[in-house]
Amino acid sequence: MAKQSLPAAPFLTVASAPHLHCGASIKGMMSTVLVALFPAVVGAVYWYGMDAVRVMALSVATAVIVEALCSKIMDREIRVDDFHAVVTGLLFSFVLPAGAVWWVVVAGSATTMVLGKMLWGNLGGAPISAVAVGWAFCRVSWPLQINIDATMLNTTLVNPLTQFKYFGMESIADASLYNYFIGDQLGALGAVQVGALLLGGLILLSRGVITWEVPVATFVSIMVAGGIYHMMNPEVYASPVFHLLTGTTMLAVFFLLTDFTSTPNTRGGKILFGLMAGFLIILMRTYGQYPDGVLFAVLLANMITPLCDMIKPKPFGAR
Amino acid sequence: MNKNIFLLTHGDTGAFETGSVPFEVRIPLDGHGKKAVKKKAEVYPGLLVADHKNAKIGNMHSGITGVVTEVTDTQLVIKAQEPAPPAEGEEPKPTSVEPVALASLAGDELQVALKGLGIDLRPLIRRCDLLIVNALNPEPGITYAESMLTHAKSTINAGLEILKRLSPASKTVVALPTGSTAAFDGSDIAFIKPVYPNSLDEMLIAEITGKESMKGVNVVDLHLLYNLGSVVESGMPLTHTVVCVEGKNIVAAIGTPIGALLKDASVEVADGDTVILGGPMRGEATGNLNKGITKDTNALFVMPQGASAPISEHACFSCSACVQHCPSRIMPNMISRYVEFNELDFCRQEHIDACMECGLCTFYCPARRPMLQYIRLGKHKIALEEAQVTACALHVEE
Repeated sequence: MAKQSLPAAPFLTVASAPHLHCGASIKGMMSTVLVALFPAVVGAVYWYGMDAVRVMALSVATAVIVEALCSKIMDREIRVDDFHAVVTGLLFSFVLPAGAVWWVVVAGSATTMVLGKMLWGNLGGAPISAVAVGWAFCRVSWPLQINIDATMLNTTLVNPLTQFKYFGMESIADASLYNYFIGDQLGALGAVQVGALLLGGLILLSRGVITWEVPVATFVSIMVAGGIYHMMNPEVYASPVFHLLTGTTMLAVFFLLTDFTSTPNTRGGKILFGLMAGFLIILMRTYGQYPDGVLFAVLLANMITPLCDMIKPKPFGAR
Repeated sequence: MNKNIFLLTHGDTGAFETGSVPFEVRIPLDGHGKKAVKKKAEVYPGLLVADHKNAKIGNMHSGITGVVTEVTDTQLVIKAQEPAPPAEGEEPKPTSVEPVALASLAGDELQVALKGLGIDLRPLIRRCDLLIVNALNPEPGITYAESMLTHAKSTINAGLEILKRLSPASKTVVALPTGSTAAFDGSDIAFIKPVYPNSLDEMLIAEITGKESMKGVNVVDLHLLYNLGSVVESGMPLTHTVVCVEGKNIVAAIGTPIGALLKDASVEVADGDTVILGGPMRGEATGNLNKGITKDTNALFVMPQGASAPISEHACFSCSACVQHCPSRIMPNMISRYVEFNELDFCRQEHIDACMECGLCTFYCPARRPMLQYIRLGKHKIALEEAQVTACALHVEE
């Protein structure tokens, strides 16, 4: 058309509003989670040496490969480059003892990915925490191979939870909470790096990857429920701080209960969910058969997620 | 992440620049039935080129001197050109129109006169008790509001004065950004925290009335008031409007091609860029730089290619970023899923109609899901469904 005297128009991209984006991505969020997990990785290597490296590397590699294979079988786009598999694999290794045999690690990590993520579609489908699923599977299938005390015989570290469970309050009476905090306790290789995980959790909070509701509510609930038991009989029931600083509690508070897909979305729901999870943790610890029942508490808390999501604010202008 | 991008105050950016006369204008027509001019007709600024049979929709006028080169249903193209000198013995051709005195007019006469001058009356005369003038910049990146209140205050005042005569409202409130010193005689002033999405009509009403209901309230934004004011002040037809081109405010002729306006503001457009008519949060992308701006075009933005990650088909993974930021307090994560699976009843249950389409859910979504688009699709499907139900009901009654 001769009457168009504009220069040859550039080819424009059209898109729907809004045309701005905050720049957050799944890859970015998962990278932040990895950064937040790094202090705990360092702690694990410090306390458990190359055994910890072996378990973590095996778990991460298995998770990534299994996700890629599943995507291939399901004829879906392979999205391992969003690092979610890396995070899940690493978190799964965190709940294993450093002395776990290789096939338990591989089987557990594969189960984590298959039953905890890929069977539900892809990222976004699972109504339960993948790590807790993998752990529960291993715990029920091979109780001995995943037993922390049975697999870690060549260590001087002491497992406070089994001590407390089988030998009562006196066995942990002279233990220092500071030692627990820096990871001087026998337990799952990453989960007991309590101080490092707390640091990681604060990183996640400050970067806005997770919100304050779940960690704070869980913390409050553990302190209150544990405190009530402790006040009832300090000779029998350990203090809530002991529960917070031992076993998998800190990992659950910051990394498992704040998992995206398996936890509520509304503020009220998150708070109720956190309160419930903290209460379940204390119940499991007090009455449960397992010394560290935190991951079962996570699984049970995941069950009430849809109910928690029914607590929502009144929409704008709704009557 | 930079939180300041949602700040809506930019200070006084100076008086508006007058854009250069474009080589052509493409006046957009929207149902304007009778074309007042034919092809090859010579036109001059202010000349009526198309009128609308609806008494409440403004007529269109030429903003430049030139020759009509094309008339279609959707646009009327005028090529800028000096008129041929009058032949011997002929009267010199007119070069401008006579201003209309609006001050003495009232009621229907005023409405007819304003329609004739190119003002769309519908948003001004809506039935309401409370009239709110939205004097905030509508969206992040748009900068004309404060300059308008400083340098074009008389225009705004003139517009407001006529608006009060037109509107049935008994009370007028001007919503100003916090810290603004502008004053208006005979109108209340409300200070609003100038952060997006507080500039949306729904948020303003909630802030000012304390009720989350649009009933009995009409919101008129500053851009429209400026158009009205400039017509009232001069008595001339509406031929120019203010467009914020990437933060630079330019008074441009209606129908100026987008490309010409961008060139005027020395904004480069490359292959793959997105050109947005309106603000970056709610505006509409265009594929054609030759399209002319309308009376309502308040801004033009260019988003370079790759400025943000492309929209993906990733499933929602319930990170709850959208739920956290939604000003309507609904659950965009669930609604977008329901729309994907065409579950319209669940959409209604989740109050999809409460969405004010601010775009914040899409802005924050780390999975880059087209949240707002899903919500709009859902609303559209619900409207279609309801229309079908109504049609069926009517059919049965017959």
